Amino acid sequence: MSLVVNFTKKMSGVYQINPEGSLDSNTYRILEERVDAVVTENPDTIVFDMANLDYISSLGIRVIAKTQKTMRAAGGRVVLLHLQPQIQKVFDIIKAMPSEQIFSSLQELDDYLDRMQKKVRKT
Amino acid sequence: MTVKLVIKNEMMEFTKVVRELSEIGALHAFDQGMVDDLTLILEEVISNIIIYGYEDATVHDIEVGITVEQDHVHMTVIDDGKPFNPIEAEQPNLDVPLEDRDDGGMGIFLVKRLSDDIEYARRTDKNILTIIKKSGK
Repeated sequence: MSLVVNFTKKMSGVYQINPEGSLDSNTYRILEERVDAVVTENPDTIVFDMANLDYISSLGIRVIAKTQKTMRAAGGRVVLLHLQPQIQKVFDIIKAMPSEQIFSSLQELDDYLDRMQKKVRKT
Repeated sequence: MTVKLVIKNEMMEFTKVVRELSEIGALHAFDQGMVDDLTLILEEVISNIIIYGYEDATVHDIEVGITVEQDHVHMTVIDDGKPFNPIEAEQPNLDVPLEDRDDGGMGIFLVKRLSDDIEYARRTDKNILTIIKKSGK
């Protein structure tokens, strides 16, 4: 029932947020505040690395949804990495995210970000 | 074995329920998935009551009962908030992207999907919700 949130700048325009613990009715505001801080940096991609997140409830999901809405409006994107079993199950039930936004390995995500960067350079 | 808890309508109180479910899970050798499902069911039901259930700002009691039977867990949640039958709650539209859905409805939808049976009654100005979750044992 506790949540710790760290974030790192992964590369230009790409910020990675690591929520660890339980993202629930009592902790969702911690993530919300961290996301708000990251958004002020004008990222084009926010990566939620969920490797150490064990539990999510609907108020936690709303923070992800809100981030997605903000990023989409700014022409950016949200991707998710390393969903643990409880989170995968909940996401499946509510059809939270299309599978192309969910990555199971860092390599998969890096390849994707690489492709996106190249695409940006071409246009 | 029945455990009964009375919590106040304040979300931090829910940590008492989480602790109890964790102890029950250990005692009955439930896997983590079962403990998480039971926790999520009660979190969604109780947070819904706390956020939407009351029209005044006074302190209310919410009674939570958890009984472990041979092949299922039986849970009851009783509150004195305004009448709300979650069984009749509207289902969220899963065909639109998550970020475009209306707020609310998602928690109760999860409760319905994770439970095997739900019954609702309104008696003496109280909502009485009974939830069955099979334990697969």
